[in-house]
Amino acid sequence: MSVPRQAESSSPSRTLARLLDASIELVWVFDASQRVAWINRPAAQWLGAEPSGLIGRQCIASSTSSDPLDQVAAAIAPPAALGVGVLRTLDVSPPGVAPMSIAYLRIGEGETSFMVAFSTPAPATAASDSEFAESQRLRERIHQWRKRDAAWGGIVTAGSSKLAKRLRGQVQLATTNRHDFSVVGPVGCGAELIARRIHAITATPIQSPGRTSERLDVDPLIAIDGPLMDAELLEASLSPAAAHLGRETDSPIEPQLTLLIRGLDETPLDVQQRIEQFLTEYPEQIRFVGLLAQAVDEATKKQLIADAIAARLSVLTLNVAPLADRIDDVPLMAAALVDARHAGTSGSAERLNRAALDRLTLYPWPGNFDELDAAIRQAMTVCKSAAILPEHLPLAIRSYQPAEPGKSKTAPVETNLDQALESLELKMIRAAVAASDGNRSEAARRLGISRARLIRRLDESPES
Amino acid sequence: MTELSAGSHWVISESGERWYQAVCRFAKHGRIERVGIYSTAAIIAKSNFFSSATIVIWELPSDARHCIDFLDVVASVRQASPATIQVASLPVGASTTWKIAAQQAGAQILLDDLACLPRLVDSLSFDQARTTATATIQL
Repeated sequence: MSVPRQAESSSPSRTLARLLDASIELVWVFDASQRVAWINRPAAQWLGAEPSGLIGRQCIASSTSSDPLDQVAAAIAPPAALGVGVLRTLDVSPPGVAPMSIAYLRIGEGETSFMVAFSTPAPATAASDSEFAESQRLRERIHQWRKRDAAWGGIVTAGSSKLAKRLRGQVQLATTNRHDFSVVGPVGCGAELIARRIHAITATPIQSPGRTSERLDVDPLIAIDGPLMDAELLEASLSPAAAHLGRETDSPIEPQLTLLIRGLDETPLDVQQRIEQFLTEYPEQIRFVGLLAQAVDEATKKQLIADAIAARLSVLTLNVAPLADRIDDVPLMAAALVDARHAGTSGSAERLNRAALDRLTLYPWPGNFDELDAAIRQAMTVCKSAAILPEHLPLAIRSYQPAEPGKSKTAPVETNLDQALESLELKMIRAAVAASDGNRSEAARRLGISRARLIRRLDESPES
Repeated sequence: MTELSAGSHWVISESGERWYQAVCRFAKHGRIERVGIYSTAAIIAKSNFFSSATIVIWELPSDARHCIDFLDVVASVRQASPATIQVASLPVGASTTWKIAAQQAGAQILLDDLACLPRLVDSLSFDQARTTATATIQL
């Protein structure tokens, strides 16, 4: 069989060399006498040497040569007495180069034998195996949660802590009727997500004339930022609600909606009164939901909530604990967020590695669920691989280092600002008076204050 | 029984510092000490080790040979200081055999991940004389 001349000269060794040079893995070959017979480009680059400088060089681990290339050759020397067909992995660290895990394999026996060395993520494999097992365990927990509890509040209520279970119970209760309710929790705790979830479960479909599908629209939820409202803005915000409630339908059931007020305990009282008036105008048609940072009773005592509004909300309260109190739920919540975003094709990452999970567990989460959500969103954007690593997380989270109990990292801070300012003022005045040889007028001029103020401060000082 | 307080003493033996950081984060009080596996025995010898309420956290390695060494030390701590609470963190995916071995050696609590630690901290309590500690949790 005739072979074309060109093909005979260029393939298959060149094809193989091209293939190995294009690989990102490091590969080199030793002959029977442990000389480098061939080395691919990435391996030569890693070693910081030209392939021609290494090829033919004998690699003996015990070499004492001072030649830098001999030292490199000694570093990459194969393990002694490597049996045929045995794969052994070593951590190879040539001088001045980042260590790599290299697998060595002897092929054949005698003078025709040779050894292949190639980079391998071998030590990482053990870790990734355990990480895979951990992610599988989390996946199973997510699966269980989806099956049993996901309907009750979504990811905010995920977890096996007592607080998470209690919250799910409260959500379940809120979905059994159309009572008004309040959601109490710190900023960013996901209260609105829970309220929207409850609304989505309990909202009734709108039967519009001419619509054949009954599930196309449901009763709307109108959300209002209470603290930002004044009379005019509130009227504008309530007008779509009034339009919806006042419209005519063929259905015997009157139109309904959910009115959600964010920051109810920070909403001006006159605005609250107008809201209450609006609620009275449409009895039975509006489900009122208030989001608060403090319990209704407390807010009522402090006169932050109008009595009528408080009475409406006293029936059912959902308490969302700070995320810091539900740390054991964080891994599941984070994994569920990654899962949801991955399913929504918002990133290639499909799991968190153990180190990243550890960072999430240790962080105190001052921003609560919203901060966790934002952290996962950022990690999904940055991460281009299957696993989210700590470096993909926001700086605040990945760099958080808890201090040992009783050992504060920072010096104790003056807790009273007024006292601290007074103390500083007196210190400066005394320094200025001393610098002016006791001349108070000169000291006052230097400080840019009136002489009377300077004298008053000195008179008020404890020493005087 | 009294709650865990400033008298408690955490001893952590691990390869990295994940459990150390977790104890710093979740244990509100107490003394924290990081030790190598072989110096743990020396710490046991100290008399104050017995008198204070001590919780030892062992991060058991995945390598079987080293794991046996660890279990050996766990057993000696159990023998020398029965009041000490020993917590073992097994590698993910550890077989049931290892879990049983850790418990038989003297580890009263097996922790899966850092997130379980707050529950452990909340549930620890010691008797008045601080000679016996109990953990009332099912992790």
